[in-house]
Amino acid sequence: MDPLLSESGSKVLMMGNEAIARGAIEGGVQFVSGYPGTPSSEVIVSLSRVSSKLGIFVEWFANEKVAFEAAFSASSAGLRSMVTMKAPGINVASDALLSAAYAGVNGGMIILVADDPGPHTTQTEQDSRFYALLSNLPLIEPSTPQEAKDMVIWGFELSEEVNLPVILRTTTRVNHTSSDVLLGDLKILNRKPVFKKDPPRYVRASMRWNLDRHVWLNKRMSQVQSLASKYPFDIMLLKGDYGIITSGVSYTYVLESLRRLGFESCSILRIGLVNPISMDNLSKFLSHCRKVLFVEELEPFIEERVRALSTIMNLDVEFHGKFDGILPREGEFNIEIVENAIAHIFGFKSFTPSIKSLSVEPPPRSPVMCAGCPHRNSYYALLKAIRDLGFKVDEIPVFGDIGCYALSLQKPLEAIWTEHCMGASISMALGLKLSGYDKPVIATIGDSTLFHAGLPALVDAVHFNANIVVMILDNATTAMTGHQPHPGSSVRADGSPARAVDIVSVVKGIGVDKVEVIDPYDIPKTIDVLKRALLNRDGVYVVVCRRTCAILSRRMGEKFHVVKVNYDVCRKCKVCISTYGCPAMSWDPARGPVIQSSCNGCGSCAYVCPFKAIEVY
Amino acid sequence: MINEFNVVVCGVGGQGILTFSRILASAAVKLGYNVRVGETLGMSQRGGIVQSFIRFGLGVLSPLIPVGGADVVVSLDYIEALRVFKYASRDSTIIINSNTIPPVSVLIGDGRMPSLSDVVKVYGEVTNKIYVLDADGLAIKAGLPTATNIVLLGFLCKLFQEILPPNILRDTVAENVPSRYVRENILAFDLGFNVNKFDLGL
Repeated sequence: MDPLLSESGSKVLMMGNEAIARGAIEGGVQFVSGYPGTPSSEVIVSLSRVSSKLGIFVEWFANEKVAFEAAFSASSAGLRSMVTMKAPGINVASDALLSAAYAGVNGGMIILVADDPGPHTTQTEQDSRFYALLSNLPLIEPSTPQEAKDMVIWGFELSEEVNLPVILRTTTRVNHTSSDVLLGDLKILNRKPVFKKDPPRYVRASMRWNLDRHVWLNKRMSQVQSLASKYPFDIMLLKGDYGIITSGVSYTYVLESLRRLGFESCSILRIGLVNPISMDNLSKFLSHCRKVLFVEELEPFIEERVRALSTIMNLDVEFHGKFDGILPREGEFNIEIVENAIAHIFGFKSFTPSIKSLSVEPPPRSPVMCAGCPHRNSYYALLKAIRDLGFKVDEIPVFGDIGCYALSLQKPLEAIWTEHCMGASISMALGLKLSGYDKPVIATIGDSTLFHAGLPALVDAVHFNANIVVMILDNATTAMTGHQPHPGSSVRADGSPARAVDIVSVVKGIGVDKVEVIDPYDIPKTIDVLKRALLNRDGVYVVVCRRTCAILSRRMGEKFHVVKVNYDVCRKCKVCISTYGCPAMSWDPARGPVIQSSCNGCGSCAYVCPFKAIEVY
Repeated sequence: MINEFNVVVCGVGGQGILTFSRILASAAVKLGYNVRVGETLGMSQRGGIVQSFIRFGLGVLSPLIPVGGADVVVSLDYIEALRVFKYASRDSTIIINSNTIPPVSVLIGDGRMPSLSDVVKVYGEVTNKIYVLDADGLAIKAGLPTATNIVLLGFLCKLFQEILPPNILRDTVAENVPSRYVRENILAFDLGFNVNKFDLGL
């Protein structure tokens, strides 16, 4: 049975994101939306396994803003909703977020934002807690998968009690940690959507109403403050007069460090309701402690607020944390970092052994584009086309975007020059061209990213008749985050049929009249078409490089060719490895290239070999 | 019941490390332990490094294993064992698959490949409980070349039978692999469990 549907009272192993999904079900959610992004994606992936059975709407949307507004509308109509995103996603949704705070909701709404200290898979170490201050909305943060599940349920209740969306902020170490989770009852709500016409709430065009709504919002947040002790978000352990204020996964490092240090008498305030911080709990804790260490990852968010509040409360406590450099603002914490800080401030001897340096270093192992990845061919062909036309590769900017194809940064291709944020490839290419750059500029963007944020930039490129090349790398999926469907897919999140939005029709509809579709597995043709595109001197030239993701085609059992090296012909020039770099090919100095079992048989390497030593059957 | 048992599993994307940790962690839940599995996902299918920390016991709290805190290090790729060296101590047991997938950096001439004996020597400086086995070969023998992970799980189970009852682990393997490959996976587990010939620290 799916663990998401396991019976109440059972203890099952769940990843944090599955626990959040289960919490949504236990909280009676009816509408879930999001855009894929590590480490948040598994919430919707796992919910979509059971959505039809439970009658819950669960779907991927074109981007986080659309997903947010859809969920907000469902909650305005009285349903409980959840929207999920990674940290940069809340930037995309932020316009909607701030207005939603003024409107409020009727049904509970949870905004899941998954931050990534480290960072493991995110472009910045954004601390999304600041959005709670910016929007003036409640923000809660769990320390474990169990709490993540429970806080979703309490979050729905709080959200409905004060009519405000609640931000559930997590970090990778909660989203991607698996743990034993004790399950509660499933709750099936069958609320029918009722959207009541109420212009002061929903129409932001009137400035007078907006002032009123600002007052309303602040009142509601005061109400959250007074309700804080009713909800079990915070955990307070009052012991000795040395204390630690902590939050999120850091709480687990604190508990473990205290145990290792034998510092049993330390008092702890684990803040779960991060905005607003409960004044009751805080004043109780600060009146009890004379020396306090803050242990929170990334920015000194709680520390700064507590230091300010303690001044207002007229409490004289000795504080340590980030302002005095005891703990770093960058990177994620671990037991060693936390234990050393605690030992240092409170006078203990840390047990952390020093890390011995290795006498033998492992070679770097960066993630690479897979064997048979069509993106490798697209970039290989692009670089070949640039060189064939007599350009230097370092004078033709290749703007990249967010997705697997950013791995073209790695050797040997080293293709992309930028990877800025979702959709920025086209707008940055456009900006450079409009600045007067006189050589070709190229934007490369994936299919899902195009739908997410690339289209408005393409509209502008057409509008200005900008002379740029846009390569749309259409691998029929959102591959990087685990193959979620997007508007161009013919399936929905749960696998049921959807109407695929045709990229070529969209591009033509915008007004691009030079559009070609090629199969990147056909390298010579791809090079030809890209040369034509690079020589174009009038307007936008779109090349759709269309070939299904190699991981997906392998899963679907698609067979291509058998690839063999003819060692009688091979001259060991190593061009196959030094210019193409497929991970299915290793190098034997005695023999030459060796085809590995990971080869998917695309046969592209046969084209790359200048001596026709690679044979395709 | 034990207070704490920490296993670090490492290797390369696609080797079934997450399946390994899911099976071990699910078995630990069945045994009534608190369980934490901390792992780094995201690039797991792109040939990147995968490390998983499985912790269980009566009061396990954080998802990360402290430096020197591994009871066992299992490496599906011998090179990758070097990247988790800091978690080993003189009490650690090290289980290493004798094979490696060369990283692209090495293929294009950017990095040097340490040998298996280099790796064993590094670990030999902290512990003498080092087991090297041809788990790839045993997986092929089981009729499922991708079952290297399960072979190593079987061997881990053999070494720690008092903590991990073989019948519970075997059942958990069956529950967590695709139904059409249960037979081969169980065979892989048993081949790992019954290994008698392994290179003990070479």
